[in-house]
Amino acid sequence: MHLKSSLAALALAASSLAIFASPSYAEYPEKPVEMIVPYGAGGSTDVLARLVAEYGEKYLGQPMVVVNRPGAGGQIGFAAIASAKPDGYTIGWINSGILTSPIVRPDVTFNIDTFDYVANIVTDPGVLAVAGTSDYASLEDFLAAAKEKTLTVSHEGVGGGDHLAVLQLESEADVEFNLVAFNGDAEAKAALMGGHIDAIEGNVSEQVELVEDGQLKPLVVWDSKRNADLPDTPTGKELGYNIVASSSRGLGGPKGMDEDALSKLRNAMVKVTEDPDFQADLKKLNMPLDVLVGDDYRAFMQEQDEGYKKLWAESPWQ
Amino acid sequence: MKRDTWIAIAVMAVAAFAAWDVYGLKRGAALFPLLMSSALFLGGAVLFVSSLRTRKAQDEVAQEGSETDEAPKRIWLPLVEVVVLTALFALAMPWIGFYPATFLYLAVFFALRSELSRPAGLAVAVAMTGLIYVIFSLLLAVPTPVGPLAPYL
Amino acid sequence: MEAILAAAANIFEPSTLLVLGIGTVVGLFVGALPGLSSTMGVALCIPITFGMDPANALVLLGAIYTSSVFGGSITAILLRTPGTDASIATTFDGYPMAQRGEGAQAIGMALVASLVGGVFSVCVLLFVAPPLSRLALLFGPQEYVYLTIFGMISILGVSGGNPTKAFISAALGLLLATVGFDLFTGYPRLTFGQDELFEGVPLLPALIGIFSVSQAISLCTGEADIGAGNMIKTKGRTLPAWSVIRRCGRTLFKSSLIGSAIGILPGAGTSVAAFISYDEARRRSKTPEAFGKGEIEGVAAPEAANNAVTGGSLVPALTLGIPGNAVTAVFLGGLTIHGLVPGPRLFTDHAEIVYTLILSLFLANLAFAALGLFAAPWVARVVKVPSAVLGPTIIVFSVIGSYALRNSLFDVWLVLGFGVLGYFMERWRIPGAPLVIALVLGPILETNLRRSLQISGGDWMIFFTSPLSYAIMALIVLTLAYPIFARRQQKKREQDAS
Repeated sequence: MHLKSSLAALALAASSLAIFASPSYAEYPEKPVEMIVPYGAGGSTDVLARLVAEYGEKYLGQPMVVVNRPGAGGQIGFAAIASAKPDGYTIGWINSGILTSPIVRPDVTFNIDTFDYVANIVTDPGVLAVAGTSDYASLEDFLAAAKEKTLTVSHEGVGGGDHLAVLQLESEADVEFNLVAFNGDAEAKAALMGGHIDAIEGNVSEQVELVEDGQLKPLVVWDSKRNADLPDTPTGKELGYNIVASSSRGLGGPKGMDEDALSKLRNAMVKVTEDPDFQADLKKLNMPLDVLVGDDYRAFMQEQDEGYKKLWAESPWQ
Repeated sequence: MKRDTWIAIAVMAVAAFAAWDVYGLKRGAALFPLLMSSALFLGGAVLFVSSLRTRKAQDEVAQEGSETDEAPKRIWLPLVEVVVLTALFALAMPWIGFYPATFLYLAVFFALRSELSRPAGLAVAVAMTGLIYVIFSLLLAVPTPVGPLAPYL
Repeated sequence: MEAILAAAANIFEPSTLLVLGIGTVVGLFVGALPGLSSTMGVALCIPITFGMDPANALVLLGAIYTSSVFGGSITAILLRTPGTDASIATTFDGYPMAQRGEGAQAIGMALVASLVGGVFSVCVLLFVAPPLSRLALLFGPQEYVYLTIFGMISILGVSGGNPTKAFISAALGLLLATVGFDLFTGYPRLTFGQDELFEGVPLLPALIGIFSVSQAISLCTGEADIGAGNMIKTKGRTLPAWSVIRRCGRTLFKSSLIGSAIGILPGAGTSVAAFISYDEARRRSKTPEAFGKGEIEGVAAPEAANNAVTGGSLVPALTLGIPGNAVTAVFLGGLTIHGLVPGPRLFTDHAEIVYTLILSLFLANLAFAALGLFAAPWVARVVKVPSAVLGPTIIVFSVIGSYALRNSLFDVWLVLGFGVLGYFMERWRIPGAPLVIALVLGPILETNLRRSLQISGGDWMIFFTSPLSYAIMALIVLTLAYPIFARRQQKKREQDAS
């Protein structure tokens, strides 16, 4: 695999030489495609990217090279994707961060309109959970208790999707939690299981194992339909809260990408996601497949964008 | 003035600048940086006072031993040479690529600063660059800056 | 039990042993090269494991993890350029030893200590993992605050001659630690519009700059000459004499214990364990003044501790799915790729694979010890390489390592900037270690302090409620008071004698 990726890098170098030598009219893709991951190696987006790269090569006909560009909560990578040459040889992983960052920091060089959308691959719904030993059996219990006394709920940093979901719940249910920030789901889960906080807001894939083991009790899933991994947990909509929160990961490229390249990339991603081996691997990672191609993906992002802008207008989170 | 006095002034300046930069932030966000810059300022102030109080000009000499008298002057030139060379290396890297830059840096460095003969210096530079290439690019597949000029080299 | 036996059969498969050997060698390299951290070594090798069967994949990652921690000590001792933050404390006494020509002996001690610490922690992992991980959960944010303060006491031990300057260095480190996006309010602090600083001052470039690059600059200018004119003998036996090991026995045991315990706590970190152990050893030593000048016990303590963290940090990672540090977080990523989802059921559902991993950690410890023993006398000769060749080479390694972390040229300038800062700090007699320790511990302190206050709604009494807090507080007070107490005792004894 290493050898392979170094060979790919060599091929990349060699082919760039070829471009300088003579303008070629060969069909896309004639060289490896670079895939920017706005996070560090080993993180969940990185793991997903490397998996997609492995299968993508089969259907695209060229290697896909993962390049990590972490920093600024993904903003450095997003900016790199948005400003790449739109020739189809640089794409990258995007998520709701491309929507929330421009709201908070108007000076960033990207927003929903600076991307072309290839395909969404994974959507991991948000979930609010309490400890397995907790007395709260349902979201109603929890909210009723929150009106009596202050309950602490974790999130993973101001302005993140999970933080915004809790804010939406506060506003819809007219309660006030004591919100506590953690550096990621691991520390938050440890604090919850140790009884230091009352509930955590996170994503389904991070919690399934501990739920099955009885350590965690999910109260609500912020999705429009019931989750296959947590079939007994009601959705927000069922309980009367119009909140949809999730962490989605998909592929995008700079605006104005070459039409031919874009459609070939989309086709390749559809084929990757239909591959049963890929689906099996994804299942092992607890990542729920959620394929939205092209305009559907764009519409999905648009809808979230409007929700965030509305929330920001009503109650800015910083 | 003595060296420690200058250091103390610089430290206090850094602390004041940091405090000024975070002052406008919300209290929760500014609390820690403000506390820490106050601590830094305090440290600088203590150093300032103590450096003034030790009137003896030999304090640094005593600390550093006999080299102090002349050593700093001899050391400035090589230091500037090293820093400038290294800065050029970092500047060139994104343009000509990491490996060519490494080779040039090592070759020039050995020619200027080591006792190696020209051919030996070149040979060591080639060998080092090759070794780094094998370790980082072939074995570990670490990405390195390539640079727009690299294809022409 | 039969799972353990089955695992033992697994591990002696030729392919597994081969993977183990490769992992150990790669780990040693990754650890030794300035700029390549254990985290990166594991992350870089995850793609290789895609095609392997799960047991071999885990063996590879485990071997890289354990041996990279030891590998970092080799360059820390010989060149004062720690490969990872885990071996900062090793430089304090290891490098002075190398300057005296006892580099091989220091490596020998590091090797024995690493082996003891590593094996100890693997035993912890093997026998008491599940109950211990429950205990770790008792640590809430307020206990982490005390734990971090405990770690910071070690700054006192590395302050050099001038307490004011050490204080300035530590305060500067704490100030640098506040740079970046504030988790609690969402504001960027002290970033001066640089997106690259949004997530804070990256630790590794700062660490490599202050320790490795500054040292390289001194080598380049001819100020520092390791091996003083290359006249030093680098001969002599590598392994410490039995009497030396016996003398360090208590330190070895205590440091292994500290390392394992700190490793189990999610969010404390390898370097914290090394600092606390070093300080503990110095405090309890009969000759504390020898520390920092090449005391072999000062190599033993941090080395036993940092390797003991490896097993310890896998306890919460494997049993609860809660990684104790960045390496294990990446490690977990590697696990999930193979369908092994860490959590309480891992030990029951995949017992055989888990025990294969644990046994392979044992073997990895033995493997790096053997390799190290073989290589030490040769590697120790690196000090004979002319400084003018060694210096720029270290700079090149530091630059590429820093760049590779985030593919960012900004980090290249950062590492060089910190190198110049570290060089001048050295010349001005401002110790660099307090800055780096503060930079490591600062974010842990701040987030947990503010998190505690968020949980309590701003009530500072949260720091005075749990028995566990009181226990750590008592430890802090005892540690601080001990030297005074010891001095008084000694005086009394002298008086009695006269």
